[in-house]
Amino acid sequence: MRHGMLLLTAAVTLGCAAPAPRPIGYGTEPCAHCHMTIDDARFAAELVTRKGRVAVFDDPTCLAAYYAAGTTPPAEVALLVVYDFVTPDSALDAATAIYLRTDRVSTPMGGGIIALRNAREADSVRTALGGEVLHWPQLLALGEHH
Amino acid sequence: MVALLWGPVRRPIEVRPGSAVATLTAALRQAQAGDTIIVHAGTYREPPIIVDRSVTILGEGRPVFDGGGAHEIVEIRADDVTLHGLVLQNVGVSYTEDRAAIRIDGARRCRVEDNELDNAFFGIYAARVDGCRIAGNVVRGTGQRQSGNANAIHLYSTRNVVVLHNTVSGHRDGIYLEFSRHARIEGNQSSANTRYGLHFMFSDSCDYRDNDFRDNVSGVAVMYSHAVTMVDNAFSGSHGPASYGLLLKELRDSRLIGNRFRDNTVGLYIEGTDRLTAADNEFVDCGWGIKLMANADDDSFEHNRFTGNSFDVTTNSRATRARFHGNYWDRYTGYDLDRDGYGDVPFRPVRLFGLAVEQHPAALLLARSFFMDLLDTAERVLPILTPEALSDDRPLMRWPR
Repeated sequence: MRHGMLLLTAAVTLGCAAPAPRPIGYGTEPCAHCHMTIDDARFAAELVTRKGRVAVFDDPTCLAAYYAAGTTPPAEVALLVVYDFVTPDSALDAATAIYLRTDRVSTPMGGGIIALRNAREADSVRTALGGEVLHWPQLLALGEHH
Repeated sequence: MVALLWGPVRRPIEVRPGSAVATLTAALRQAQAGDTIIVHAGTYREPPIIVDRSVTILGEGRPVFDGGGAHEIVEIRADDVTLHGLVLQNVGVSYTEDRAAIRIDGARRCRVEDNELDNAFFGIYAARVDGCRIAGNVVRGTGQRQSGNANAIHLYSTRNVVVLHNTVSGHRDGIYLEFSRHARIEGNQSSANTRYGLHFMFSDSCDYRDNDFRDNVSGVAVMYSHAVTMVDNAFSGSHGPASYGLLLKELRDSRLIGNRFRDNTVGLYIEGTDRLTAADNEFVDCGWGIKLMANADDDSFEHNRFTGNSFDVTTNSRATRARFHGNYWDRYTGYDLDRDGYGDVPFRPVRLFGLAVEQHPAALLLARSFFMDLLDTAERVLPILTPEALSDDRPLMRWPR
């Protein structure tokens, strides 16, 4: 019984305390930065606050611009999430993902920037599409101009 | 004599299934600049066809080119190419390349006219082109959401392109412009697209008029651009929590004249847009006529008509610097003692309730309640929360028929 209560309490607390990305309503939800309808899972991104509020984006550069603008104070941000261009159902940490800027892919914001899981994947995609490898701080610097 | 003066007139090359010239690829191989190729009825399955010389390609009896769901169909790389009267179908989805039924790359003065495109991924994709004319085509997509579907007519880095009287539907964006200048988009019908009927990104000095945008998720988005002219278009049937007839975002020095916004969740959504002139537009039967965000500066609204909207104008701030002058508001209850056709007391289109809903969408439940009416009236008499500057000093008493 005591264990049961403990587990329940733990489950409830953990349930509240673990901010996580959420499924995006493709074709209906607007990007929190540019207001375009989010339509393509390959370029989506999310910002999750410590309180569990989620802002959704249509393009990694919109996440970067939104974050760089400080609309949500950095101290309140729990997660920055981008989605893998190759397997769009897997969420990646925006800060450690690898980015590729290529003119062969038409992205929502027109910058041709896609997120990839790791350096190995980035290499193989770059072999196919060409382009230039970027990292999160460079995206933030780009975002400051938007 | 004429032939001597003008040089020998070459006969058209005829393409017919089962004949000596059975494919367009074979015809192009023997064609010279200036030649005409006539493609007769039939179904053609060829590897991607590269048009690398200045020829006129005419379909007779609607010949069908089928991409087999695997590749692009025609790519135009030469100047002065005409592509007329073909049916192109089944391009096939690709997640890593922007495949198109018709690609135009680096060419000048092409004419792509009266073709029918079905089940393409991208329909007509024009990159780095100057002076092309895309007219009278019908582009039908699958209406599928997300990445399975791309834009019907896609202009990337173009100059002086004319997009005229096309019918596009069921794609992501009906017509899309990126880094394009001096485009004219006229008389098109763009409907049931899964993102926008027409979409501008970083495209300056363009003009769109007399187009019909209906039942798209959102009608039109004009973003990160300047000097865009928007005249006599119709925006209707865009319903949903993120749906607009027209979205203006980061747009400068533009004109919105004589357009009709009817039956949209939000007629016109404006953010970060400066020096917009909006005149002679009609906002009819919309949830919100205009949503005007705080960072819009120096915009003017003159002689527009607002009737049957749940909210005529809302904003998210008291400090809005837009000018409203001489508009017609069906909610206006003022009087015109001097009979000059304009009401003698100003009209404040922003309802207190509208502000409440802007901050707490759930407050919409209170719509049409006695309490809200009371608050609205009190606020109208003594404005405390609604933007005082946002008022029409000369509201029209009657909308001219």
